Formats: sequence, structure tokens, C-alpha cells
Amino acid sequence: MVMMDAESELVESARKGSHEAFSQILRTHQSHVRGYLSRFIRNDDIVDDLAQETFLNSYRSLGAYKGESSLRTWLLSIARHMALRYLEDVRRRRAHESASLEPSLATWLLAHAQETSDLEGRHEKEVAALENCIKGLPPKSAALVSHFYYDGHRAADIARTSGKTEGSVWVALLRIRESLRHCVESRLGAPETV
Amino acid sequence: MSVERVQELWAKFLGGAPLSEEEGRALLLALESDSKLRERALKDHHLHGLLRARERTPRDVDAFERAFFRTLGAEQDGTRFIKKVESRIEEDRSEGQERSLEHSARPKAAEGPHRHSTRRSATSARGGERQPYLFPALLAAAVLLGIALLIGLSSGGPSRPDSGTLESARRKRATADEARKAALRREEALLQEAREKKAEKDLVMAEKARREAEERLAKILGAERKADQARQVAEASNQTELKEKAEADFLEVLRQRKEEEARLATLQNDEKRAEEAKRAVAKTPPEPDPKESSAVTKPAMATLERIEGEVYIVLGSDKTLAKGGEGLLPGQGLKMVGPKSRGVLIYPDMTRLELGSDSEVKDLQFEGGKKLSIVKGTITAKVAKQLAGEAMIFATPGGEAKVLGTTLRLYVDPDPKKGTSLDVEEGKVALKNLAGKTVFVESGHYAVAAVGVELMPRRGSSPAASGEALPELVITGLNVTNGKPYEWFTLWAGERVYIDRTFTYDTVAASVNGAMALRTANDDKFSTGDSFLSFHVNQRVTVYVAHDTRFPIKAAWMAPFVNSGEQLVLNELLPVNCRYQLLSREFEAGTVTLGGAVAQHQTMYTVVVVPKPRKR
Repeated sequence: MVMMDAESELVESARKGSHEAFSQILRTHQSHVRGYLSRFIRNDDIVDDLAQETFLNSYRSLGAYKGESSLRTWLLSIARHMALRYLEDVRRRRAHESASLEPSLATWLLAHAQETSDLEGRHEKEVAALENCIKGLPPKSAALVSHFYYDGHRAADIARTSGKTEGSVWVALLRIRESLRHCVESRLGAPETV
Repeated sequence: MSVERVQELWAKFLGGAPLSEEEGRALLLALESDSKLRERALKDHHLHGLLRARERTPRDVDAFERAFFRTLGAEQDGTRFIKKVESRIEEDRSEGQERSLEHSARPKAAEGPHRHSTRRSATSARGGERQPYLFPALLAAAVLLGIALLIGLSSGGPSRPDSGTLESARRKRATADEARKAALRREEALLQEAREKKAEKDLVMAEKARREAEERLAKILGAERKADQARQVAEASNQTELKEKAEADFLEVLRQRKEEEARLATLQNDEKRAEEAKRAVAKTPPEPDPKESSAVTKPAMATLERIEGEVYIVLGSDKTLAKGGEGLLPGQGLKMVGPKSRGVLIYPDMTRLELGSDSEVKDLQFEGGKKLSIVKGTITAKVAKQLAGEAMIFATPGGEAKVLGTTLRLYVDPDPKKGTSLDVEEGKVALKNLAGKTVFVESGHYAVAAVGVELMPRRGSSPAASGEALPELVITGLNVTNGKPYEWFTLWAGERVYIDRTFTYDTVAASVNGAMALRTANDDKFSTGDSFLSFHVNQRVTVYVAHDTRFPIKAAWMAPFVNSGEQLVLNELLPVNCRYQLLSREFEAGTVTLGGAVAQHQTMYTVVVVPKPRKR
């Protein structure tokens, strides 16, 4: 309740034009918004652009936020709208590229996204479960995840420094994700939806 | 296309690696035609997104926030600008209406300067007003220029000197030039000395920092082992609190190790850069005084005692045909060309190096000890006792051997995967691999420094040494009863294990690194019988059967095979990696027959064949 009050105060200050208040909102929720968008979009630059659009939209329409849901749920609903619009755009613009995976992937992701209604609850739980699952990885797998996802090393570079083939690094990442997915599913008790 | 291949392509695609058109089409087809595969891919897409999103550093957040407020600011400025333009248009429109009313009321001749002239035209009008001041200024400048020209002509006018004065002036100029050049040379020599000192100091500091990091890492590794043991004990105790604490302690040590490993990698890079900087400084000596250089001859590092065949002295990309008795200067090297080429190099302290056919060494130096780089080939060294702290260093593409006095043999391949094999006959040698691990190899032992090979000393002679003494191994007549296309290949880390899977060998035991191996099919894990495959060998060999350690039950035909204590490791990066123990048995020249893997096994065995070395 206290949190909600603090959040309402922040929203109110932001509505009155306080950049500091909106900056705090942005810092609190940006990782969730970007995380949520990353589920649909592979390209980090596009994720950042859409996240920025999400916050710009929310800034413009703060007046319309009535506090009926949490601020995060409201932000994620804007992000979801952005993501679906983007996927729809990819599907439509690149429909003529019959041999390209992108429009088909966009279509499949759209179909799955439309089955999802729970915005915040599931996402939050998944993030928490994933954190625990990563801690349980064997050191080499954890190191690979860290090199690829955190340090931003390319698979080819990891392969070269570890004396492995690039293909084996890709497959290793896939297997680690599979193992993490099983771990997350078992912790949450039901398979996740996209 | 196999499921493994589809998975690899998907992983590449998801990771942002480019796929060829053909690969993209194949992946699309596979995903379109298999809904289960597609479902898994989409779930993987989802998890990939979660992983990407969780790893955001605070710097990213700051950048994101800055970008947001910049965009917001620009948007607001843009809005303000549009509003301003709109209001101006509106203003113009209303004034235009007023003017049209004035036009109709006043005659044209009475019109003053246009009220709505632009800012630029207003300025040019003001410039027009300043124009009267420009003429006197130009006049004054012309007068000053004329005075300057007159002064120049009167003082600088050439008066022809006599020839004696000219000769004397020329001599003076030449002497002054020489003195200036000598001063420059001295200055350059001092600078070079300072550069070398600085490079040396930087290297010493970098080495020290690296050594300290290695020591810290060794301590952390010890702590990690202890924490792991404590964790296992806690696991067995069934006490939740104890388990949680042990787990937390272990994770903390793990985090420390990762940090220290990252720090060590940075320090190793720093050290490498410092070494390179030092080499670069040493390679750019000051331009020598031509008089001095003709009088002083640089001392040779070593002398070519004997050569056979085509041998060159090399310096960078230059090479000259070598002659027996010739001295090698610092920075120079030797290159043997052809199967009959040989060379013997003697250092002043009687350290003797024998270079085998097609060998190449470069950059002979003395940097706190003798040092040379072996590019490739076989080097037999009898190193005289070196002073403490002045060990002789053999740098190779696979690692580095440090010697204080011993007899050794190095087999060097330019490919770090094939690496450097060190056989020590007498004394002790420190061998370091590219990962920075060092082992001491004693007399009668060998070690292999190569990527993907566990660096550890082993008794006996290296496969490279054994191979050299034996005729070439020829394997023929491979017969697989089910007719599958098994294939022979050379075993290095990174090679595929099976013909029908994408698994690769990640760590290869030194004794079989570079040996002939058979790529079998994992789908043959249920094969049976004592005669499943056979092949012929032209000499006595040791046949290794690599058997998955997770499954203790072995087929009956494996009974005569003994555990060599060595392993091949697969899928090292995966959550569950596999270790294949190497079971060995000797076979005489002739046919080798191996049985099926039998149904109890979850994986198919693989085969490695190594020529049996002669006893030393």
C-alpha cells in the first residue's frame, strides 16, 4: 500500500512535469519493459527503440493513467502493443520474402502473443525463476552464458578462445537454454507461454 | 537435414549470426513442417529474450535514460518550433492582409524599406553603410607593404662573394650540419635508451601483476575445492540451513573465481602487449653513426656450426642463404627448407640446438636469458647450465618452454591445436600453454601444450616423438557390418565425434592428440556381436576404445582392454558433459576386429589408433 502511495506520488509529480519523477519511473521499470519486449524481438536496438517509444507514449498519456492497475502492468500493456504492432509490421512488409524466416517468425510470435493475457505476474515470476536457475548451472555453462549474454562476446570469439568450433558454441548455448527452460518450467509448475 | 543441424542453425539465427540463403531456407522449411520443433524454437526465443534482458549493466540504464530525455527534449523542442512556425505563418497572413489594405491606400513611391526584409538582407544593408571606411584602410595597407618591400631590397641585395669566402662558408655549414646530426643521434640514442627502460619496466610490472593474479587465482581455486567439498558434505547432512549456507559460500567463491579469471585474462593481455611493445622498441634502434657502424661489429648470438641442404638466415621477410660457420645476430632466425635440410646452432656457452628438416626458428634474442621463437619443426636442444633467473625460453605457437639446463626435444606445429610436444631426456623444463597453465616436465616424461589438450606431464615419449621413429601408420580395409559410412580423421579438439551427431571433442588426452580416430555413428549404440567392425593396420598399434564413463557396463569383447586412465571430454560447455574413458589394447600388424556397443550403452564408442612406440 505504501509502495502504491509512493508510486501515485511519483506519477502525480511526473504529470506536473517533473523530469526527476519520470526519471525514477523509467529507472524502476525500464528493465522489465525491455525484458518483456525482448521476448518478442531479437534485435537489441529495436528493443531499445520500442522501449523508448513505450516510455514516450506513457509520458504523453500519463493523464490517462487512472491507477486501476499497477504502473508496471500499464507500462507493459503499452510495450505489448508496441511489440505486436512491430511484429505485424514485419509480417506485412516482408510477406513477399517467401524464403525469409523473419515474416514467418513474426507470424508465429504474433499468434502466440495473442494467447497470452497475463502481463506482469508471469513475466516477474519467470525472471525470478531464471535467476535461481542460472545460479544452479555448472561453472562452464554459467561462464558461457556470462560471456555471450553479459560480456557481449561473439560466438566466434568464444569458440576461438576456448579452442572449440563456432557450431559447438551455438549448440552449447541452445542446450543451456533448454536446461534453463526446463528449470524455469519446473519452478513455475507449468510451461510458459510466449 | 538432421535435427542437430536444424538446432545449430536455429541457435545461430537466434544469436544474430548470419545464415546463408540456403541455410535460412532449410531452417524455415524445418520449422514450418514440424510444429513441435517450432514450439520448442519459440520457447527458446522467449528464454533467449529473458537472458538478454537480465544482463543490463547500470551504464546501459544511464544511456537509455539519457537517450530518452534527449528524444523527449527534441520532441518538445520540435513541438515548440512547429508552434512558433505556425504562429509566424498566422502573423504573416494577418499582416499581409493589412499590407494589401495599405497598398491600396498609398502610392508606391512613398514606400520606405520593406518592414519584413530578412535578417540577412538587413545586415547587408548595414554593410553597405560601412563601405566608406574600407577605402582608407586599404590605402594604409598598400603603403605599409611598399615600405616593407623597400627595406627588404636594400638590406638583402646580393653582393657576389669571392670563391674563398664561399668555400669557407660551405665548410662551416658542413661542420655545423655534422654537429647537429651527431647531437640528434645522441639525443635519439638517449631517447631509445629511455624507451627501452620504460618498456622493460612496464613488462616487469605487467609480469608481476600477472603472477600475483595467478597466485590469487590458485588460492581461490583451493577455496573453491574446499567449498565444493563442504557443499557435498552439507548435501549429505540433509540440514537445510547448512545446505543453504554451503551453497551460498560456494557461489561466492565461484563469483570470486570468475572475477579473478577475468582479471587474469586482462593482465595476460597487458603482459602480451608489454612484451610486444618491448620487442617493437628493441626493433627500432637509432640510426647508427655510419663511422661507428663500420668500426664496430655486433656480436653474434650463436654460430651455425653445421648445415645440410637448403638453409636460410631470416630477418623479418628477408632471407639469405646460410653458410656454415656464419654467426646469427640478435633478431635473426633460421629456416630449413626440404626434407634433407638440417642445421646445428651453437651458443657461446655451448648450448647446442639441432634443427630438423623443414624447421624454422626466428628472433634470437637475449632478454634476461636466451630466447627464440620456434615457428615449426623439430628442435633437439642440449642447453648448458644457465644462470639463475636467466632461463632459456623457447616460445612456440602452442606455448612456451623455460629451461635452466637440460636435454630436450620440441616438436612444434604452427597450428596451436596441434601444438607443441616436449620430450625431456635430462633435467627439468617448465612448459606453459596458451591458457597460462605451467607444468614441470622431468627427465623421461613428455607433455603437450595445445589448445584442447590437458597440459600434464606423462611418462614416456610423446606421440610426436613416437611417430617420428616409426613408419607411417596405414589403416585400410575398414568394414562396418551395417555399411554406414564411418570415417577416419585426425583427432584434435573441436572435431566431430559421430557421423550422425554434432557433438565435438572438447578436451583430448595428450597421448592421442593428433592420432587417427574413427568417426562412428551414435545410432549404432545398440549394435551387438563380437565382430561389428574391422580394419587392417600396417604395424603394431595401440587401439583405444573411448567408452562413455556414465555407463559402467561394458561389452564382453572389451574385457582384454585396460583403462589407460586418460579421457576424452565431449560437450564441455553443456550442463551435462560426457567423459569417455580410453580403454586400450595392443594389436600386431594385421586385422583389428571390434564388437558392437550392446544395448546397455547409451552412446556408441569411438576408436583411436596410435602406433606402438619403441621402448626408449
